[in-house]
Amino acid sequence: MNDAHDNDGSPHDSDDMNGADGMDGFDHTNDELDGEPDDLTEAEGDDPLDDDLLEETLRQAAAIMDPVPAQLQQTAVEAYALHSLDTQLAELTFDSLVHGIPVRGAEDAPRMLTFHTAELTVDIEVTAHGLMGQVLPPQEASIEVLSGPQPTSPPTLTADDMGRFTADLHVTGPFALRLRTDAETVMTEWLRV
Amino acid sequence: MDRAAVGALVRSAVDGDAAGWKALVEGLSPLVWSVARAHRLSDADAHEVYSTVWFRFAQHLGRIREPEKAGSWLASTARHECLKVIKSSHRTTPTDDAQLLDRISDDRTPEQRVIESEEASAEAERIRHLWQEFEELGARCRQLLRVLMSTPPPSYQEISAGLGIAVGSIGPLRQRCLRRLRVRLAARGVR
Repeated sequence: MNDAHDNDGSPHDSDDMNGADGMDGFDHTNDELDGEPDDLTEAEGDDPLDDDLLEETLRQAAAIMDPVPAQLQQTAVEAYALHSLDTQLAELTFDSLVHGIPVRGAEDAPRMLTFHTAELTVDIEVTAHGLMGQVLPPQEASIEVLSGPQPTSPPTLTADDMGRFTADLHVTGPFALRLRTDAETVMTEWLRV
Repeated sequence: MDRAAVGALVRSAVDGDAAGWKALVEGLSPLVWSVARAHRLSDADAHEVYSTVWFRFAQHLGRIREPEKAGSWLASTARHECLKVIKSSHRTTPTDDAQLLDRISDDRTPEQRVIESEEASAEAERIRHLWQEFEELGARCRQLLRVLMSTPPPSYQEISAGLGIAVGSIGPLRQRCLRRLRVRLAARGVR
């Protein structure tokens, strides 16, 4: 895959670094223009071999200075247990963080989420104080609140015959619900709240 | 990671091979981590994004349409979770640079142990200086290089998915950022 790193042979920089080219979410300050003469002549080294060498040195540095924490990686290994074929996936179709209109001054604006399977809709509202939701079409369900692949018994709620459920739980971090209705087991897509 | 290898590992993991899954985690973890780091998330947020991405990947495993592009899938999912973290920014605390510079994480890799030995102290010093100069680059360069330097080297498609920049601008941007870094290192007398 090293050939992917060959430059395209153009000796000059394009200007697309400082344009608004879709790096959404980041500061758009022109901090690349930090007072250094940008166009130190080509003699300053645009040798692709030098570039490859420096990149490789950076790669070694990253492995030392900022490696994936071993315990964290173990969590990902254990996540294989979440691979379950007999569970319906309820896809995230609305997330107030993405689609919502910002509520002015609302520090604790609820996070509103909607998940869908072909047969089922689950609406959830997460606040600092807890969690409430609605299963549609209305029906009873047993609902586990998951925060990871750990097999320990997670908090479990019940949706009433109107499909409503609430919990006094403060949910934060990775989050998914596993719902068991009369007909099926459904799991919401993992996300972070 | 080689795309064909990734595709084969995804397929074997779908078929129930836990070793295949483990190999995927080992091969693509640094990419996912680098995307979180490139977005300057705090330690806690980076941990949560990383976990969420792998949980979701496990959940989607049998539904991934192009298994050989799993690296791009992971990078893109990581990016979107990072952007959500940034949007809900009243919860985030920016990474403390000084702390990052001093970072020798608690989970020490064999490389770290080596570097702590006395003979290696000059090398450690060199790496530290390199890292410091990297950290002081502008936001764009820091982002690109942080993802570029993950192990194994990511493809341009994966970098593109993780940072939301066009594949075609990665080559020129890389060249420019490495040049910038080289100038900084030269100014500091680091070889």
